[in-house]
Amino acid sequence: MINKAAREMSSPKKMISEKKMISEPKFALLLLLPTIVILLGLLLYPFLYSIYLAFVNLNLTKPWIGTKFVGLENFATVLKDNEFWLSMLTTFYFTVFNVAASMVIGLAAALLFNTKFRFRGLARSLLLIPWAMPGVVNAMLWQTMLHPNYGLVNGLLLKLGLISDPINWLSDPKLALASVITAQLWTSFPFVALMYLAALQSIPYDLIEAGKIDGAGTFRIFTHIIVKLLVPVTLVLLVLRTIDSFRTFDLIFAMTKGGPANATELAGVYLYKQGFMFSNFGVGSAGSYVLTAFILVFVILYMRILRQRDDH
Amino acid sequence: MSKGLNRILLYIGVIVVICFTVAPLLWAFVVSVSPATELSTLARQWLPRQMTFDNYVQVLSLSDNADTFKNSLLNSFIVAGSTTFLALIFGSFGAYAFARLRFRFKDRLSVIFLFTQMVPSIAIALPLYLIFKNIGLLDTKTSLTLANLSFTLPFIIWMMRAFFGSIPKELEEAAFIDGLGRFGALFRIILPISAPGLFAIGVFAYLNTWNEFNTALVLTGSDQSKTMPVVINEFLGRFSVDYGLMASSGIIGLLPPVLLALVFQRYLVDGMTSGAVKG
Repeated sequence: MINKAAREMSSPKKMISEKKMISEPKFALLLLLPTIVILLGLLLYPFLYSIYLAFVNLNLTKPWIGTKFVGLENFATVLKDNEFWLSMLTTFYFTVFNVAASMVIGLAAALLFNTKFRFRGLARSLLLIPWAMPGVVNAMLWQTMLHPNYGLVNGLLLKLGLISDPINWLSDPKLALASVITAQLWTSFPFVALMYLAALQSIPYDLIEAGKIDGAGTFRIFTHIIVKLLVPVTLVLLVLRTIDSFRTFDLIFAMTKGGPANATELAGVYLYKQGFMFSNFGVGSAGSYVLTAFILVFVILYMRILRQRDDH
Repeated sequence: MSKGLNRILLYIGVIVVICFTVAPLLWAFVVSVSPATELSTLARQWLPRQMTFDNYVQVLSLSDNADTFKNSLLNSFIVAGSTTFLALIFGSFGAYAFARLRFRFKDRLSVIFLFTQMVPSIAIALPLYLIFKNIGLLDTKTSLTLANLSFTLPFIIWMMRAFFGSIPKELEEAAFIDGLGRFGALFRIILPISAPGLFAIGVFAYLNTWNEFNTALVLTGSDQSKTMPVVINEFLGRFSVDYGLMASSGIIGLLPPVLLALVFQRYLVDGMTSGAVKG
């Protein structure tokens, strides 16, 4: 509309030809300049600085000793540290279970909330609450839920007669990881649900109608039409959720500090401990490179899958 | 018959999801308003015989608590506000370049942007701490804003890029015909009509910054820069033996982001889905 009006009103003489205008690359550089400066200063420089840190022995508490170049010693310390590998394994379990559970429950919730029922709007709004929850508060909520004596979970299980003694969810190393995964699931499934809901709503109704006319049942429509249309958003969600789980820190830090007996110590918590509790900046930096490399492998894998899909 | 059954199953499913969603909130609230003497029987009764707001009064009335709390609210407000403001300005410029302009290294640059989102925040927090310590900016809102800006910008550009891509190109062409240059087209045509989309993404960024914990934990040290999540975490630790106090400080801490999310829910959902679903 604006376009048409503009064309009718303007005389051709007023138009600036593409050649007279600032060139596209120059304009792009100008527009991107602030971003590039900020990212160079606050991401790239720290990143390079941490390479330096990974190769020296920096002692913040005893600065008079001075910094000493130690070569690959910090990397060796990390790679030989059982606690580091244990934290990587814990991170892996945490990520796999969390991503799988949040995808399944998120999709189920989206399918439920996509049908018409009373108070549907309200139900959808409720989903936003866990999503907006700060990690530290999420930790508090689940600490009160899982407390052996005051917690609702034990209260319910006792009342239903499913258990006879209270369970120590957060102090039993076997149950603690499952507990923090549940807490993380609570805050992460709504995002999956809301994204799937948006995707479901963008499916043209005609397509489903056409399927019905062709004689497809509800089940067939779901498996043949809807699932196929949800593939793109599923891939995006997988990438986002994996990165998110890999980087989880605040929930664990506030809920268990990595305990009991390191059962919930994710890689981020291990690195924080090395850097800020034991002042091993070198070991922390070296370890964060190893962690970043792992994440990178995951992401490249996902991108491969995404690209393959685009080619089809 | 089968339709009625479907209906029942649907409602059961919805109720299960909603219970899972609200139970932790309601329970923390119940704990926070229960007298300490009733905590031990609460799990089997579900509701206290008496309600009390003593815990809230206690959390907020201890004078240094109240100051710390008020300051953190203000700090979070300032840090999240200025981060979002700057990120929206610089981010919309960058996103426009990615969505519309041809230039060298575009693909490589966009891969780098994506990569910045994958680096675990602790990997950046360690060197950032030392850098800000060396230039004397530790424990300031400025350093926290800058750090948050560097996390938020690539993310905002990624989301807005799809948004700008959905605006018809004819709009700019018309602007050029009207005699506007590239700057004019961007500032007088594209940005104004993008306002609702920018607002949606801004709300999203604001909430993200408000909840950011790891960097804030590392870079802040006193009331002049500690943000709300850092202070709430301290309260949780300080009151860890007193569940009523812990629950009430948590409830206070969840109010600002949750209210924000509920008030701006339409924008939030638009913001979060603009990058991935539409793009």
